[in-house]
Amino acid sequence: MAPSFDFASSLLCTEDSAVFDESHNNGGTMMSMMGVYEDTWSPRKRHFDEEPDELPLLSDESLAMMVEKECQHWPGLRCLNKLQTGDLDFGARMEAVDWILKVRSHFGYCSRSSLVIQNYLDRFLCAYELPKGRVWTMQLLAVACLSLAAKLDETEVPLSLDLQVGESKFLFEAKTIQRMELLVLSTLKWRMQAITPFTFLDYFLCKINDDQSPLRSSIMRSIQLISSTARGIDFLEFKPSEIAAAVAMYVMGETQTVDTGKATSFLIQHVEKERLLKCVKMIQELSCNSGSAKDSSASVTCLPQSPIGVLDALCFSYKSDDTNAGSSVNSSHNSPVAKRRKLNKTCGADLL
Amino acid sequence: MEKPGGGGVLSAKEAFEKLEKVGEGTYGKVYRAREKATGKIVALKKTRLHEDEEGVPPTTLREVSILRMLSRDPHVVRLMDVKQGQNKEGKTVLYLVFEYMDTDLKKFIRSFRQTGQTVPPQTIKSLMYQLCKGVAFCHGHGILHRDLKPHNLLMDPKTMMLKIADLGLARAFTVPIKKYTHEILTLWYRAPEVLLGATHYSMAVDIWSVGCIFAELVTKQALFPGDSELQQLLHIFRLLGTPNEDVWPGVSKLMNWHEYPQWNPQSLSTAVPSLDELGLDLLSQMLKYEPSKRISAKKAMEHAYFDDLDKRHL
Repeated sequence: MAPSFDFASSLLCTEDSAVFDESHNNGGTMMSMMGVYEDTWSPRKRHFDEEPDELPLLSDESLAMMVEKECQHWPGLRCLNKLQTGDLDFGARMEAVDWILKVRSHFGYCSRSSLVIQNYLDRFLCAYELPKGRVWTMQLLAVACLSLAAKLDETEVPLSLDLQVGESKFLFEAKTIQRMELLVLSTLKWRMQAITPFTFLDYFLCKINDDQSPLRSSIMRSIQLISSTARGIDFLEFKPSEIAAAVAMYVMGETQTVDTGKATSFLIQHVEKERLLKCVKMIQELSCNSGSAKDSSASVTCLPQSPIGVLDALCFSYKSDDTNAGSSVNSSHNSPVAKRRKLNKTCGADLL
Repeated sequence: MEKPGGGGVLSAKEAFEKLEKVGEGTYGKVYRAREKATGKIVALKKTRLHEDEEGVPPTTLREVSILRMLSRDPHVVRLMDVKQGQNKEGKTVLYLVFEYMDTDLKKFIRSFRQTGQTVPPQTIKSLMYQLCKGVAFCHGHGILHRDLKPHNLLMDPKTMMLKIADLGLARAFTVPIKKYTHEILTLWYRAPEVLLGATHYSMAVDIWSVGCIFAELVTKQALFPGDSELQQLLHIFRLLGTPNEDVWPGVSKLMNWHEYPQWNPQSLSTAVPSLDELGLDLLSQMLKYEPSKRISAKKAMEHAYFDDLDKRHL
């Protein structure tokens, strides 16, 4: 399925509301897609009163320090291997990621937040074995990671009940979430200042643009691409600095404003050349909607392109029911009053 | 790190003997304590997690995660451990275990005020250098402190070492920092752009605080002791002159801007009479109205005011 980035914009919720407005006016498809969600939850975008000030750029020394430190926060190849070999429940992770994206969109958090949340999720899954066969634990983990990221970076932290918007099967009490928060924190050794591609993005865009501030459109495009890398697992093999460098190079190359060779020679001072070029190629494939043939059970790098695809994704919610009998963590089981009928019996099989 | 419910691991209560309560931090009480296994004196910051509330408090989460990032700089207080335990009522409690420091800059300055003595100039220089170095370290890691004040600067009076503490309001600025409302920040050290409602902070807010602390070390009195946001601004304007678009482009567009009495700038030497010329120059660069013109912590360390300071042990 080829992804539509207009659709990606509406879900990934770029910071600039004007971009959303443009997408929204692109035709009936977007209108009908938005209609799909009206019954379940209402996206509420916050509007910033003013143009954001320019961020202070990282200094050259800070950049070097961040590159050195990012490995502490990088799930890396170990996590990717676990997902590929089935040690980690790929489908459950996908479901958690989708839920995170929707909730983030609902509260209008910036794109960085979803990467931070996924960073916590993936690092935790690599370090701690959740009980098998209890799908609610992945949902609880997603809620806890979202709550922690909101507290760390956002100025308005929703109540834990409000955090659990959208179509989730389980509704957790505040104290249950608290216990999971503490488990996540101790498992990650309280290293929660996650380093993500956004940490490096402004620096790289600025440097390969001859120390000039990049165009706003380049920034928005970069944010969009980085956010798109997060849904599948293909990009887990790359460090945040590598993803940021590749996206910066691709986007600036796309606008024909910089010399690609010159950009490469700058960027390889900070990231390995081979990995940079490999990542750029994957960004290009992602961007062109023409991913090479991949084993669909191993990874999903594309977003659903049509309303049917959206509904297929929603079918994950009904794959299985689980009871919390005998669980060590309490939860409130809240079944949907009117269970949505499955549209496609094989949707799970197709993707798993 | 102790895992919840881990058998055989001493709980926080058993591992430490509380000696005395020494203060209230941003969130919860602070105790001087002795670690039973080693006899080492530590500071325990206790945070109770109310189960009817929303889990781990944001201030605790930020402080710990930021200190994890800043570990081992000599001018940032060292977080040794985080322990989870339960209090008498069975409620979950977090203990942040810090290295213990005997005093803070607020008490240090007060002791000189009480005896009528001035702080020795070389002591001021050493403390200010350490403060700039610690702030430069935080900023180099993309961290704004946002609540620098004498009370948050811990000291060892024997060695004259100074350490930055209480990062519960600190923020990473490698992400867009959004507008903060209802912040409870100490007024006296607050930068004018914050008072005027600027929606985005920069490293310069910490530098303003450093400048206020610098002046206070010299005079032993707060430089701008306002008791409301308006009074705080008026204190600043009386000394530095009421800002306008010439000295601070964009100031009149800030949210809280309105008509103020017009004062002309006074010389800083009227407020800090005993500071030498180099010190006054450094102070003036820390107290520039326009945030982007304020000196950085790193540049401040290179200022000529510190030239005759022996920096080898700092």
